[in-house]
Amino acid sequence: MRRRLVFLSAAMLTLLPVTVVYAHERFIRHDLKVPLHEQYFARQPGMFLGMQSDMLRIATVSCVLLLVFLVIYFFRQNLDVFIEQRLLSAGLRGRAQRALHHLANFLTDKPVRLPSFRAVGEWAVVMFIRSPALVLMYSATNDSLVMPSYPLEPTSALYFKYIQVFLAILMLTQTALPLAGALVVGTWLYLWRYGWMVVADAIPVLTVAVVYLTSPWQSHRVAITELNEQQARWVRLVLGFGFFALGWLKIYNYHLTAGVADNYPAVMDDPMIGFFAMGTNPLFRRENWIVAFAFAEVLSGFMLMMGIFTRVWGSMMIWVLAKLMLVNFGFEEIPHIYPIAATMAIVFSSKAGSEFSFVERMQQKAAREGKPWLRIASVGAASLVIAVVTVYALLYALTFIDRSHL
Amino acid sequence: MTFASPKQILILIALTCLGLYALDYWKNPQLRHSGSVATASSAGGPRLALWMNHLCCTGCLDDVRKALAGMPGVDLEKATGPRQLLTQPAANLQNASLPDYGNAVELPISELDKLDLVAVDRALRDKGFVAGRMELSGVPHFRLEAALDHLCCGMCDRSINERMSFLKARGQGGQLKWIESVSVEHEHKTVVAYARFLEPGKTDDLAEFLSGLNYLGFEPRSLRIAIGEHMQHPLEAPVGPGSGGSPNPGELNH
Repeated sequence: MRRRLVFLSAAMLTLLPVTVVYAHERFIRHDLKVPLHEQYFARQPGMFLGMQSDMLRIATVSCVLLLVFLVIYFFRQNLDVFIEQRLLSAGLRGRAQRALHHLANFLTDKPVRLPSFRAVGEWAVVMFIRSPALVLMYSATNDSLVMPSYPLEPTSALYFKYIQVFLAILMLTQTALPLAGALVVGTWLYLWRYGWMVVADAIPVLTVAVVYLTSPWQSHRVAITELNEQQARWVRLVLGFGFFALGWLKIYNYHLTAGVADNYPAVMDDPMIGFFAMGTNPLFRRENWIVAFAFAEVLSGFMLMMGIFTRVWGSMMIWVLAKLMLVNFGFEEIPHIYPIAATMAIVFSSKAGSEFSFVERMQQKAAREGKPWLRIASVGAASLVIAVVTVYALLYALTFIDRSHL
Repeated sequence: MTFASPKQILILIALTCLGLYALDYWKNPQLRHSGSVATASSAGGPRLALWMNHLCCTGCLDDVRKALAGMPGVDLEKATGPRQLLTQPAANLQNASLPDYGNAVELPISELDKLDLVAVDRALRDKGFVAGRMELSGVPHFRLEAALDHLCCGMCDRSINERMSFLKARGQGGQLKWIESVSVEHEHKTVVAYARFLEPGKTDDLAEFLSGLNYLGFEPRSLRIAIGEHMQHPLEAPVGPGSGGSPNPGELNH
């Protein structure tokens, strides 16, 4: 247990200082001040996969990191049994043992049987299903739709603002939640009017719609303080996919991402970005930062979406989003209350699952049959395929698309 | 407890989405017409459509016409203004808001070589107006020649070359995308912008180039539309001290 805890603690400490990685750049200034090296993001003839060497290096670091997390996750049951029953059974007793047991359960996405944990989880669900109302009211008072970065036309602003207030009332009073869910999804579809990137940017908005649509029509009569297994799964999938997509959008629309760095240069001095971008050419510092920044979000979104150390990655995201809102960018980032609440609802849920549980089952079956090499091979091969496809496939495709005009 | 059925959910989502689009369609007609104001009449030769962000009544239109009176290169007599414009007395009594306070004036271009867009801009400003867009149509191939009073050194040339492509890159709304390349003719103190092929029925907003030069810190003395013998592929444009000392104009302009 101690070795695993030490490793996980070290990993968390390495990743926690991602102070501004998850900048929701639409809320903040993002005017590009200095031109970028456009060729960096284009195809490079003669290079491996046609990618710029620094971009390829950052992708490889991300791939290795993902691979390591996947391998550890797929062996988590065995590691847990080994550490708790072999290493800790002799040395620890009583409260210390129980505390470490709960901590291990938390870190490995197992149910945590603590009243305080359950209480925080219930509160997180309540906050999650009501916090979108605050964002809507904030947007309405700022003459914008759903998010403050989408300003309304003066000629129709009044109508849209009233609709948002109506929706907020449904949310706050927990009335007819399926209707509220349909309004959220319908509004998200309407965002196509602003362009597909706006729609992708607003994917996290759909997270709460999952809960609303699966609630009863008489929702005002019940206390919704817990997500069922299906709700927790879909919330995790949608929220994780939202961050995953936002990460790729950072590379796709790199001018906008660089614009954030131009306006807030401090965001580039980040230990995690430095970790991803280690050994890269300083001449392309901003370009490297964009790719590293994007991969930090891609990885966290992917882990959350697929249920790989959901609580570890979710906790980091809560910390980063809260810091952005309170320290780095200030009040303009106040809509981050909503993704914080959504992530809390997942982190403090005891119904965490994984989309890759079949790999775990496969290696456990091989263990029961006494085939250790098959266990290692199946986990290694699965982890490698997942990591390579996740990191390189889209990045390779993006090199074929000219985005210099965006 | 009753839960929403998939059918109910789909119907509600569709109603919401369609309702919001309908609201947009009803209340924001200006959004559907913002792309091109000169499309309808571009078949009748070269035209310049001046989109004024404020042109709400016949009083405004009269002042615009006065500002453009005697302007060489355009045929003000055949200019077409916005239809259904409120009269000045009616506008005085109007209490309701308009969907859009802007309107366009379309000017047939009689002599392209005599038209100076800086002169048009100044004439309007002197009368208290600003042309938000100057949309050219009916000229498939053209270039813009901006004459500058100030272009003293190679650094001036370089800044225009580099920063104009930078402006193109950061134009989130598609500004300046119609420009294929920009070159600086130092000897003539001229900045030339080569436009891409302008399809029939489409327009290019020339005010973007004017604003771009202003943004870069240069005020052109004149801005003229040229066609004919000097048209060449941008990559064949001369590169040298006169072109701003840029190491690779093709790359910068790509």
